[in-house]
Amino acid sequence: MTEESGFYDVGLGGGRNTLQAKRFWDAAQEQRLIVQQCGECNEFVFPPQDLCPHCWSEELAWEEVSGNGSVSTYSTIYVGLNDDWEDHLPYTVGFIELEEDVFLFSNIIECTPEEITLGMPVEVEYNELPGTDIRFPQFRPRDE
Amino acid sequence: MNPQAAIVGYGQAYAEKAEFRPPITLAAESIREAVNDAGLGVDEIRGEGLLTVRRPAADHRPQWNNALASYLNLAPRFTSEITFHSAGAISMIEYASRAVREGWTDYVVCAGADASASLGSYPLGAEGENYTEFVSTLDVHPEFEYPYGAVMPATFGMAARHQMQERDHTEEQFAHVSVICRDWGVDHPYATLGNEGRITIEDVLDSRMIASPIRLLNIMPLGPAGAGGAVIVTTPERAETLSEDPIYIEGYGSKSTHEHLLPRMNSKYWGKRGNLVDTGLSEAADQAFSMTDLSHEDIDTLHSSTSTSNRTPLMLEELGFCDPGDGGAFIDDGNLDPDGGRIAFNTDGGALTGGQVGVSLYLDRLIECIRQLRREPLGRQAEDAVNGVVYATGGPLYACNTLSILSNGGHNR
Repeated sequence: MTEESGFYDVGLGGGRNTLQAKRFWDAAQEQRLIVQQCGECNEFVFPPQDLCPHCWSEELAWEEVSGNGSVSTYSTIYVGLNDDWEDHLPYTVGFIELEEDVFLFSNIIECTPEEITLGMPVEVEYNELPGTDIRFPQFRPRDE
Repeated sequence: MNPQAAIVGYGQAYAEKAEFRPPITLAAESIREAVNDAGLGVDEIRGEGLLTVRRPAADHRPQWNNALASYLNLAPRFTSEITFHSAGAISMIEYASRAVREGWTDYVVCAGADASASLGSYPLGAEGENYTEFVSTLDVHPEFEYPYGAVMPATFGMAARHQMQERDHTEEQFAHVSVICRDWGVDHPYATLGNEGRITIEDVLDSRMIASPIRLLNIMPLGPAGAGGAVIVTTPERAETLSEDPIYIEGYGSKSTHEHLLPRMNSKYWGKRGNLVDTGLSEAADQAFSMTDLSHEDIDTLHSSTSTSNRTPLMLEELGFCDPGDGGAFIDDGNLDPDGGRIAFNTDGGALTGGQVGVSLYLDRLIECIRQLRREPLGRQAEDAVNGVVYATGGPLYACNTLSILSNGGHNR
């Protein structure tokens, strides 16, 4: 992925990506899920930053995480308020609590809205999203 | 009572339905009316203080407070835009109070305006852009939430699910809030949905699902076409010499906890990650009430602009009107009922029926509270309103919280 890939222009004002964030997206293209972890306080940090929000240390290193987690909360969207997603209604967004005690925002896929419950086990898979040409981590139900 | 400061005048200006009026004109007219209402003249306000709400969504000029000062040749010696997201409209009351108490100026004009009918003039709403998408994703994290199709109603939907799980709030209770706001709003001439008539809990539960569990009638509309407001703040001592009807500022409090949901979910501010229920309002409310001699039983009227109805039971708990988990029952028990309830809630319809005019929406609620305490409503008058609370929350999912406690000094007129 390059800075010309289009995704960098998406969103309010565009260009908000940091070099740290690019590491996250580059790893996703290789179907790896990585999250920063603080060398001082051991807390996981997401979204990526230059300083740890918990202890303000700059000793942040990237760690590969399992991609297993559970649904913390979700909402299924039934109206086309976002151009790229208009042909994919309804779709579900939600927060995933990874086993490492860090939360990601993503889609919950490969199930109907009625099948989703709070606490439902999920696992990562990587797909191109509407309006993009790169892979993003999404989450599907996981058998326990 | 030992008030912090006083409001000695207010003004308000509206655009008629679909009428295009510049926000700066609406704000200027409001200031002119507020100064007249206070019995002051231009010379007494010139050179004093001016605070404004964030620059209007319908006017892209930065440093909008300076533009407004110039428009009226106010030449302030104390001025700023107050950007606590849109909740800055209520933060103005605190900052103005502190300014006059410190003697920085004798008066502070607090003003703002916006114009939903004119939002297309915003640069990102220019022809060819999808303005609906722009406003629907305003508070969404641009890099880590936006690509997944996140829209603002879904942020409220996700929070509502945690409320339902942790506080036992129900969709029926959320619907009840919309019904209460509509009951008041039908009597207000500028309430956006006021002319659509009263609704029932069933109407809300049958309305179109937007972002589960949030339905169309759980969400505020855009509107009215334009609205501006202004108040004049001074010391209680000066107010006694000026106004027959000063409104006293008894207390205020603020708390900002995060920006965007993803950082919030990973914040340990509330002890552990993953908290989508608690907000900074509890601390802000404790501060505000501790400044006053008032208890919650003394509050007669409550005003807020929260975007979706699920916020209300949580707000009641955090303001301290009931214990955590009892906010829904507090509503079900009739405490907010427009007829015979203990608290008059959103007497102008609030945002749910009144609408969000733009970034200045909380100013509309502030002026409605003042109107109720002065017995000068545009719609229906609440009975025996002596003390009121105005609560504002701005930014992504209750990031910024601020409230003011106002009183008419005990005049049960």
